[in-house]
Amino acid sequence: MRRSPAIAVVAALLVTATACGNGQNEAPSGDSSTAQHPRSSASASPVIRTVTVPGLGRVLANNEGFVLYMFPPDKQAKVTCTGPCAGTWPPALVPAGANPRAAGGVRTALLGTVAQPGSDARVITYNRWPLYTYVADLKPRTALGQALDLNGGYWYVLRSSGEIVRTAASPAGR
Amino acid sequence: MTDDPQPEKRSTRRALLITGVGAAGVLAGAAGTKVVDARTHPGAATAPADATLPPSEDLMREHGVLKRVLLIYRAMDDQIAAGHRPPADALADAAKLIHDFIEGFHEGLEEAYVFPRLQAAGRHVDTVRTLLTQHAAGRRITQRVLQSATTAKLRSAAARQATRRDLASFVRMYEPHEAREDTVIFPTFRAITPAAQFVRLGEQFANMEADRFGTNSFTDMVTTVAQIERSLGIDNLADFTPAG
Repeated sequence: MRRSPAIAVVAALLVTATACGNGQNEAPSGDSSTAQHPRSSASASPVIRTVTVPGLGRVLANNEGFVLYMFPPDKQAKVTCTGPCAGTWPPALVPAGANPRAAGGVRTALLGTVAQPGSDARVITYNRWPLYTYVADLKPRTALGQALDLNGGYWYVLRSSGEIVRTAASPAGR
Repeated sequence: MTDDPQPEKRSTRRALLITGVGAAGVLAGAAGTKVVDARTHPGAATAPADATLPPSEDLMREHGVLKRVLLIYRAMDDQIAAGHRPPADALADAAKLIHDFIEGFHEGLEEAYVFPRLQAAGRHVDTVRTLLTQHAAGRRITQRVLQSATTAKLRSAAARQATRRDLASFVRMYEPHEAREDTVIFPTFRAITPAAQFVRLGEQFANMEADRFGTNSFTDMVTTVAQIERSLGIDNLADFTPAG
């Protein structure tokens, strides 16, 4: 079986730190029986940049080029997607005490962090929106999760201005 | 791509499963619950009514709900093919169950707790990528089906044909999808997860489901599916038995 370098890196980053014992919006408990999705593993100094997605234009992405989404139920205040939801939408994490860095037109002033329920790590925010990747975006610069209604709301990408993009991606971006 | 069900471990796992709760039963036994061996105590082979399911069995049971919705989708596909309008309420109810329970919860469990373990272990990595791609495709289809599931939209022959294509695509994709998970992914997940973690995962899955959907969620889900089946006239299991 072929094992891609990306998967190998992801596998190496796998941590068994979080658990959600009580429902989708319940705080993880730190139980080692639960695997946190590797995409959400906290990088020591994550970089937020932009990538171009067909049909959407330039939108926020993590350092690997995976598109970042916001979730309206978070209300620019807190992380509401945990447990199984966080398996589908792994949060963009940063270790406690570290800060994300901006690149490629991303505004440092709009970057921040918010508590990750039940964890010492923090979730990166932009214009106060917690940021997530979509587990089914297997390649950078794709946005299969754009304008998807799932887990209690629609998911959208963001521009570096902080604008929420509500249009669907073109087939090339999906 | 190769599937590796690890046949050398099958007999042991089967023996555990006969007790009703598998690894969960063994570890629960260590904590005080009596564990019985069904081979030597056949009369005591029933698990307690409140026994927590192993996570793989829980996921497979949810696949049973999915299978019944696939049957509903196929019946609606047949109705449209025959020139009839499927009942919008039944279509909406079926698609909503898929959306909320299968795609919003069951697949989230797989994506949070099952697939990462396989990826970390380097097991079935390509299969997992395909399953993730199919989750995404299914969610897109469901979003379209939900949007089409109104009496007004289903009056249009073109809309009905588009819905029919979506239903057929969904069924065609999910039949092999769930079969592969049941026969390859979940057995591997069980084989590579330490027993104590496996037990805790079963408890966590049950707690999360109860918190999200209520303590009788599975029974409620099955009741909903049965009501939809009844509305379509496909609720009598005996009707599926071939004559002769």
